[in-house]
Amino acid sequence: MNSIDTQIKEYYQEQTLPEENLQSMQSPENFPRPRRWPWLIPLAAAAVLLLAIFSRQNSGLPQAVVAEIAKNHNAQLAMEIRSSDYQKVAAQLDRIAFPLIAPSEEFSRQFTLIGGRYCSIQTELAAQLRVRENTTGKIHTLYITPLTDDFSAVKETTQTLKGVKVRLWTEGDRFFGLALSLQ
Amino acid sequence: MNWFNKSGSQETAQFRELAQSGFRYALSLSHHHHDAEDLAQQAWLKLQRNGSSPIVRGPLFKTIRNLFIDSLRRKGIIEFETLPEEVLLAGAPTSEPGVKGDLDYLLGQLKAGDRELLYLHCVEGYTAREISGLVGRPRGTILSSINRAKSRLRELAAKQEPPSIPAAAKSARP
Repeated sequence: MNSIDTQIKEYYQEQTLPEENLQSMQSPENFPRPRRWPWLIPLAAAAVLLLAIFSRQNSGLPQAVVAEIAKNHNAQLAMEIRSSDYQKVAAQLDRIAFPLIAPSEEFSRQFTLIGGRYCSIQTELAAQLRVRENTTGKIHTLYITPLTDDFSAVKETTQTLKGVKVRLWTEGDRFFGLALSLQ
Repeated sequence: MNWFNKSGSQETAQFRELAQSGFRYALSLSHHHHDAEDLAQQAWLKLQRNGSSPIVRGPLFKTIRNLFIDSLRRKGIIEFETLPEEVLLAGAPTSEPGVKGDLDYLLGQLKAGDRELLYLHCVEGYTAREISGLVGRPRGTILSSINRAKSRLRELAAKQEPPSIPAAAKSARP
């Protein structure tokens, strides 16, 4: 027989909060926060306005990048090199000055490289890699470019534009975009 | 992993794990499924309204505990009395035999405070010192209360067990 500790642990671990309770707890709109300092609102509005003026040039950057990636992805331009080896692709795309490797080991496990070509994102030289998701067989396009000051201000986001789902994120000193056609 | 919802799925998993822990802790106090659901949800709501973000385990458990004590006070039940300092049961066995019987029923026979200690110790893996910080009772009292609660469970289980029938009597025919 299990120890009494184990029995108690198993007993409680079998008890679960129903899904509908979880859903209602997770919805932030169910929990409006009180306005503690109403006098701060005009001050905050002024600060936001100033910030908006100063960051105006960068405010549309994520949307611009998503639009550019979606457009490139839909164009399905021919690859300059076909290989499942990142090193071989990197050797061929020798104008790329940053490490041309997968974002992470996890990414490598989930996606197989098909090939790559040069491209640009917001005038920055970038690598455009075609990868296949191992579990679904779906073809994705991965964009890699150095993390410039502008790109470092872009927060991780996932957006859908023109039937293409695009995720933007950073890893180390590189900026990534992953695109998948939804149809 | 879904590469288009990476951070979101991590947050969701953390939220679900914490919400379930809060619910189970509330269940250890109330031993009533619906009351525990209400307690967990009310505590979550209270922390959200107070602007606690992200919600973490310690404040969640404390809020659940306070709400539970408030509900007892409203019902006029005084169960969380201050216990006298008891002798520390040094060298208590770490692996004890289990109990037979309906654990749900057996736990329901314990005081809420004792169930709470068993939950924090056996399920959450809190040390006596950590539990002491949460419930505001001396560490020695926590240790002896945990051992006493386990003994009580065993006593209750023994009472529930039907008397053993000798094998000879079982096979005997009229």
